[in-house]
Amino acid sequence: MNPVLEVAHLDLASPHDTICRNLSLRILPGEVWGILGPNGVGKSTLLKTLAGLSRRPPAASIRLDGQPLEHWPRRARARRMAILLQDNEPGLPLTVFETALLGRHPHLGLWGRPHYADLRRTLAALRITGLNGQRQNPSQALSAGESQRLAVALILAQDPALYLLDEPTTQLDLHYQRRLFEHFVALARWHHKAVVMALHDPTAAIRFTTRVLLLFGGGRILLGESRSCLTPDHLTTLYGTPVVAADSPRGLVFDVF
Amino acid sequence: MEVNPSGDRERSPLFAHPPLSLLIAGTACIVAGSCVAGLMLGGVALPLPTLLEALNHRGPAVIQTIVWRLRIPRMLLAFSVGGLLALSGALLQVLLRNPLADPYVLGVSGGAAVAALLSFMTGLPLYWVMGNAFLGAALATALLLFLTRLTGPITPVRLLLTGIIMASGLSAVVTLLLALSPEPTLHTLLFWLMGSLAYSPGTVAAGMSLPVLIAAILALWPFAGELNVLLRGVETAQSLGVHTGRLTLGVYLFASLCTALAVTQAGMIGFVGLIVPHLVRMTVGADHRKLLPLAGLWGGSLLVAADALARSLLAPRQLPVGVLTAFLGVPLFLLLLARSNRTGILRS
Repeated sequence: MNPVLEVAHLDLASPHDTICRNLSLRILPGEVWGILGPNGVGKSTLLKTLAGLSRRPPAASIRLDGQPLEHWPRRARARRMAILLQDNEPGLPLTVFETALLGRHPHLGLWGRPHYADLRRTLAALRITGLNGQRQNPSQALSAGESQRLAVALILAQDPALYLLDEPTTQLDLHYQRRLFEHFVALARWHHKAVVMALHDPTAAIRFTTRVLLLFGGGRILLGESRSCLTPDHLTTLYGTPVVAADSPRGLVFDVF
Repeated sequence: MEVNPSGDRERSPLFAHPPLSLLIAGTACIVAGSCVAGLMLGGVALPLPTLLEALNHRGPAVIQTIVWRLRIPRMLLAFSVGGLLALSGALLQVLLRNPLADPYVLGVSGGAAVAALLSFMTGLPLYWVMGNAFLGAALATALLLFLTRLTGPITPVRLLLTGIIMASGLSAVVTLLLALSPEPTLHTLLFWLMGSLAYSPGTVAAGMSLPVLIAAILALWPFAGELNVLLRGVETAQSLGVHTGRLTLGVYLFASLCTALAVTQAGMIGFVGLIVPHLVRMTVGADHRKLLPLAGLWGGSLLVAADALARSLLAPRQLPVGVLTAFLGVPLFLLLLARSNRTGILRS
């Protein structure tokens, strides 16, 4: 199978630390990736670099569908790849529906007039994120968790082949955390989408991802199958705090507290 | 309020705002109403039949002259200036993603005023005054960005603060220039700066501003969808396929041009650029496909109406229209502020 995204020999640094050295990876359709690491280690920077949003493009080659990222026309790229950013500006007051509809922008013509199919897909995205009942409300009137769900609805409406998600379940209650994780896993399994998410919860990572990338800081990384990489030892080193594993009826659980 | 949020609301229409036909009809009424008021009111109040007669080139010659030579040009001037101000306010608000952005608040008008004033005082011909005002507005915008960048990252709040500081600095320059200007022109300059349509420098400029207003709306309209995306922030817009650099540059240039034209015609008229876009947003939402043309049309109508009042309230004395827009604008703004908790318009 051809990879959706292919990274070769990527060196990346933040102003005060190395994020990764010589990182190479292939993200295949149907895979769910997790990126884990302590705060400020560079998970968001890495995701933005993969999305082609960094100000100084890295020297390494990042290929989307085999084409170098910088050769893609912006709109065509936006139809293949979406990124959920962490800091979403509330903007001026579009309604919830109009905001989710912005995800259809790369699919629309210059005038931005949506077709029936665009409206239907936007509605579906709002149903998945549980916002359909509030679709006429101004988007700024939403709570923090609802705003996060709206941001997720926007990229679901965008309907790309590759989802890059920066902490998709931040601010969400337990019900929506599970619902959205399961939805992205289903998108990968049944619709051959690729999903890469920066996560903070190792239990969610082992439950929902197939592969993980651990960023230890100082350029040290660990890349591999979730089941073999997510061990109490590695997680203890990763977060600098003792992590133990326990069995639960649903599988492995990591306990920190 | 909603007993069953997943019940009735599920079947509510997708778009919350009034249907397009109603919008067009309503806007046509607003424009027509303000224009009729602009023609009827003034130093001499003309009843409607007299006005219609004069418009058909019948009736007393004096009235015909008043209508055709004075009121119609004045009305067109007021309409274009109001439209330009409202449009540049709407553009600056999406660019800075800041609901309080306005050419007057950010010092863009101030830049145009200083440049125009300097050109007036050195006796340059009219087209130089206008060209320099455009340069002044563009320079003020560029300086605003440069100063904000110089002191840290460009964020909406920092940009707004820098703009306010620049506006006060430029207004000090304006005061300085006024203090240095010779006695005979002082009165004219002062009234022009206060925001008045009575001292428009000439018909060339007035003839240009309406076509520029229409051209600006038509040129920006196809990009209204991209401006909507820009509301979510630059990075999200880029990830959704928008060339933010080009879009931002184009919108800045248009905002500067609109401001400069308005300032050379009518001095410093505040609040139109701030209030009109918000009124439109409250009525039809923030979708720029509707916001851009409606801001232009409503802004024009507002200034025509305000100018009619300014001419007739204390006739034969003419009030500076800027004073009237401020009187209308301040309570309207406070009303918006009071409603903003519910509508989320001013939360940022």
